[in-house]
Amino acid sequence: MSEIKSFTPHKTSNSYRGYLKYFIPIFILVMVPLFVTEAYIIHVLFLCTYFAFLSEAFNLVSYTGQLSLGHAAFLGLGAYASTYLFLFHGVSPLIGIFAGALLAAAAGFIISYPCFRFGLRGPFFALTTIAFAEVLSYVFVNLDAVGGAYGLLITFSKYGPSAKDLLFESKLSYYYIMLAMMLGIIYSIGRLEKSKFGFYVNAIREDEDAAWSLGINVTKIQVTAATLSAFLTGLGGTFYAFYFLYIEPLGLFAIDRSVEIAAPAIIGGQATVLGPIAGAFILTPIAEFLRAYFGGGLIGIHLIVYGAVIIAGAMLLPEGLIVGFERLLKRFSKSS
Amino acid sequence: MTDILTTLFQAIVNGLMIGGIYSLIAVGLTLIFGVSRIINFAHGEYLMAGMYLTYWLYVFGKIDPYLSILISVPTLFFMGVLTQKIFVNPLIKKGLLGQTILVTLGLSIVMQNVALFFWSADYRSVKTGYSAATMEIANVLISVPRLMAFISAFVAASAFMIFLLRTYTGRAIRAVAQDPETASLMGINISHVGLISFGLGSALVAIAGAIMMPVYYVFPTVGGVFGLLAFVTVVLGGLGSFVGAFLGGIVIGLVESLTGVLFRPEFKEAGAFLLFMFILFFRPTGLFGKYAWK
Repeated sequence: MSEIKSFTPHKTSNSYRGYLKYFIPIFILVMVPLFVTEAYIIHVLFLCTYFAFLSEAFNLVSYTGQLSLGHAAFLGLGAYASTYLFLFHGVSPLIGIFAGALLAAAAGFIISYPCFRFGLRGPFFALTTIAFAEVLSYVFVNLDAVGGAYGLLITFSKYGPSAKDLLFESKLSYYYIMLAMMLGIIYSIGRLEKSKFGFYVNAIREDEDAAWSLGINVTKIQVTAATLSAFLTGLGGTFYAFYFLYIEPLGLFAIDRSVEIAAPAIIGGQATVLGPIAGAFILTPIAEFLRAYFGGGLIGIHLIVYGAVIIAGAMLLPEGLIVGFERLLKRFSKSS
Repeated sequence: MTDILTTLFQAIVNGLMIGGIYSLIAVGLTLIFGVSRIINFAHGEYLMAGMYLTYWLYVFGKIDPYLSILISVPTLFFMGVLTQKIFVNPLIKKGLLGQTILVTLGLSIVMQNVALFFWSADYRSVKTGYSAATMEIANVLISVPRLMAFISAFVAASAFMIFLLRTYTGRAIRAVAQDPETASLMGINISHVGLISFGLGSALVAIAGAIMMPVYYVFPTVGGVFGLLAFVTVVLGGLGSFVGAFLGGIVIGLVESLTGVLFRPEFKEAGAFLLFMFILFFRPTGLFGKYAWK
């Protein structure tokens, strides 16, 4: 019963102050590039916002109490669709990004509908999503129309710089776009959490059978969440392609990508709005620092840390950093 | 006509042989699931560890892969017991069974990348005197080490079945798998049985790893492929069913091999994964399964 308390909407006076407290971190994120001009730092900042965005999208599935380990599939479909349209049909990625996201959403629907309809839950849903991404990687390796195992290369000198093709000379532009997208997704999911949809998913996460008995169409909500999550991840896919300028199936659809998308949410707190953001801003700099320190040749070193952090988080902070942090704050404010 | 038949027979023979190895891996996975109700995402990585152990024993100690089983089985058993003790039992005690997905996933990531860090992404294989030996029966070529691997897998799986059926520990394992609460009321120490079963499950992949080395390569992500196939196998056979896991392995081996021959070799694994999703949707309890998945 105590759970229900936290779902009641905030009082109006609080909600105004609620927005105010986000102002300072946003202000810092916007201003940082004015003081730090080093390209590498901007790159790391971009990656933070990028993984924050992807993990927040991933988190939508977590809201329904499920774990997806195949989000690389949606990322890859989004990246491939917009890159293919751009390279072979001259379609601007500003349009291609939506084509990719719609393709990813279709895939999200195709995989999640049978799963939730036939009652695949927990580890089995996770396994199905892994298998789905694996199948896609085999498909794309054998699809010669999109470069097969070699993948696709966007030659910057040939097409860019060009704002309408999402090809910018400075990483700063990518950073600001991604920052805006990250803030957008935080705001949207924050609103969604407070809406009827938010109450539904909370009920489903607590107890699926009870949710059914209350008249919630659990399957419909779960499929909607997964499809929306795939759509948003697909949007991110285009930025993967147009930031790194190279996509290849074995890396893009690998479970490592899925883990990189999932890890921030898992560490920060699944089914919380700020969990994935906190997770991304903690994990990504660690990973990048390790990569820089140990050299680019050892691709796996940051994944060792991801793995270790996931283990530690799962055992010590099963609800994630944000929930643990809030609990600490509450205890602190009570004692003072 | 005879050519087609020979090709088909060849595919069936190859499928059976690799299927035996899949079976052995899957029996280990289903054992761990049956007793502790956890899905061990790191199962493939224990196989990888076993394969590397066999490889290094061969390189530095000139120990034959088959002989190295004597070392790799106790080592992997010990690793499995430690995993259960450090990571799984504390979570079970706190009632956080769902978190075991994340913990075993984290373990698999760590193990894969530690292997990558120390031994690079190179494909390594053991070239024994019998690695390339073949024999021919009615135009069907049979690779001797693959046949030996199949026979060893069969013997190991049978020995394990006899252990389950005839010994006290085996009975305790089956009792816990059937009903943990009643088993504990009968005086069985559940966490102890959990330790033994994770150890045994890992020991089984140690055997699989050793007998694969003369015919297969080891690389850091080898566990990913075999681990996923083990899941496919276990799901096909029915979670928690030992007979199902064994027969499932043979079926998966045949499906893979036949997909390779009938369509394209590149589609081998894709065929197995599609079969996996198909089974999940249409016969979620598998061939011999008793557990509903909730």
